[in-house]
Amino acid sequence: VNRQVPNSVRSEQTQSSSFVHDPMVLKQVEECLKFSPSRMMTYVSTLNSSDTKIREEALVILARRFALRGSDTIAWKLVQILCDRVTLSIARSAQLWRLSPVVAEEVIEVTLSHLYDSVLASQESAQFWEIRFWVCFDRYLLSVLRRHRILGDKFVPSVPMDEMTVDTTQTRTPAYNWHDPSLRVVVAEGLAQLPGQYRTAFMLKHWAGFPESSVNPADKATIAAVMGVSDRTVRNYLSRAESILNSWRTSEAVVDNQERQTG
Amino acid sequence: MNQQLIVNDEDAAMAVFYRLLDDGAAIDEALAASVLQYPATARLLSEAALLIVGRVNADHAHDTAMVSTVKSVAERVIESRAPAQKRDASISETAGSLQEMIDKLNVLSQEAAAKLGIPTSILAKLMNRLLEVATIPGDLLLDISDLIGVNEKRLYSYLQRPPMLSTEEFVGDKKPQVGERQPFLTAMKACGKEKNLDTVAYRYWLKLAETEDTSLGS
Repeated sequence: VNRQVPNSVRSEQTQSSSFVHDPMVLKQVEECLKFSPSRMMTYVSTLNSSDTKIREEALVILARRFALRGSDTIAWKLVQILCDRVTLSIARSAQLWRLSPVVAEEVIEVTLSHLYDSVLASQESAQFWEIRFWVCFDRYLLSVLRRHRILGDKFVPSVPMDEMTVDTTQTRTPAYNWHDPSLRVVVAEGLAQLPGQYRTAFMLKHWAGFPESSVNPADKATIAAVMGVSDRTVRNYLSRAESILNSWRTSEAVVDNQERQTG
Repeated sequence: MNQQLIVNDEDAAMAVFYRLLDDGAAIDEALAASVLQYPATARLLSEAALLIVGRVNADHAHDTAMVSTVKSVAERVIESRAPAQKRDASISETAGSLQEMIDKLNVLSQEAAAKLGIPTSILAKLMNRLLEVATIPGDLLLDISDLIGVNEKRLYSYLQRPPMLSTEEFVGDKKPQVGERQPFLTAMKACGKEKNLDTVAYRYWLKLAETEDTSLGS
């Protein structure tokens, strides 16, 4: 894993946290505005069913512009296209975190309502939807999942992690090669069930490739430094995460076998 | 339009992460690079990474029960956010500033008609409320409301009022009379296509008028 910040990222940000519209998106908006509103909707729908889809950010800019002009129906139709675009993503996320139908419905309703309100809001803060649609959408979706305590926030250790004994049998003999990219997709559902701290430590180690700790206290690229915890706590997080994932894998295998036998 | 927008660190971290992925970086590389730049957001970035990996999982794509749940809730939300029905006959709001805009549109009628893709005489009939509102294609009303910069609801309520006297009625010494309202399609066919009219747009309105039930927003 290349643990360097690419130059392209640095150059895009004019300051540490300031962003501008993508020129490609602005070009798409310009193209759309050449048409009358009704013919623009036909054009957008045609593009929507082709390979050269209009970008979500362009749809946001157009929706906000038409809402400001008072063309509520056009604005509504444009946000409707955005809703259609995010539907599958929400469905997959709901499946990943194994939401019950009742919770899933609530998450979907809250998220889509927020999408409407934010995209059509006149505040300047809502402009970030024009610049990075999926960042805004995913940030909100994750915040809703967190609010529903779906992201494993409930976990409170009975003994401080620093004082726990590390279970070395789990960490030294992993059941998988966690670095295998194809495995990531398979274990995503297992990772979704982990408490937040365990998951972060696990993903920093096995996905981002960060070392647990460093002999050099100035080294910031370690899990301990990033999470602001001791080396021992990191080892405990990792050990427990792997233990839970191994149990999850066993239960999944049992389910698979049962399904194979009944199917 | 292209001004800089300052965002908080969490938005910035996510933006960097997604940008790297858009640029073709592997998820582990993108996660490592963005955590390095924004270490305080490590947990958020890990969750986002999981969200993205979960999305590409082909197995989940076939979870039709969840997809249909999402779709039905989405339909409910979309409907609840729909602009109020524009064809509500009870609407009777005053339209003072709207009248000024309509007047302006009449002054610029040739240019406006060309932009809309309808003959000037049709625009004049429309603004004099001599067309049956229910027969006017909803999309045309959308275009007009956008052109004159008013809400579609206000335009619709304006067009619903009683017909006005057109200038053509003031001929000779006979008493001017308010004309009968005509269906949009009949009026279009009667006036024929004007010389400088956008043929594509003209045909589009004719086709819409012939085929669609012209409820606005449907």
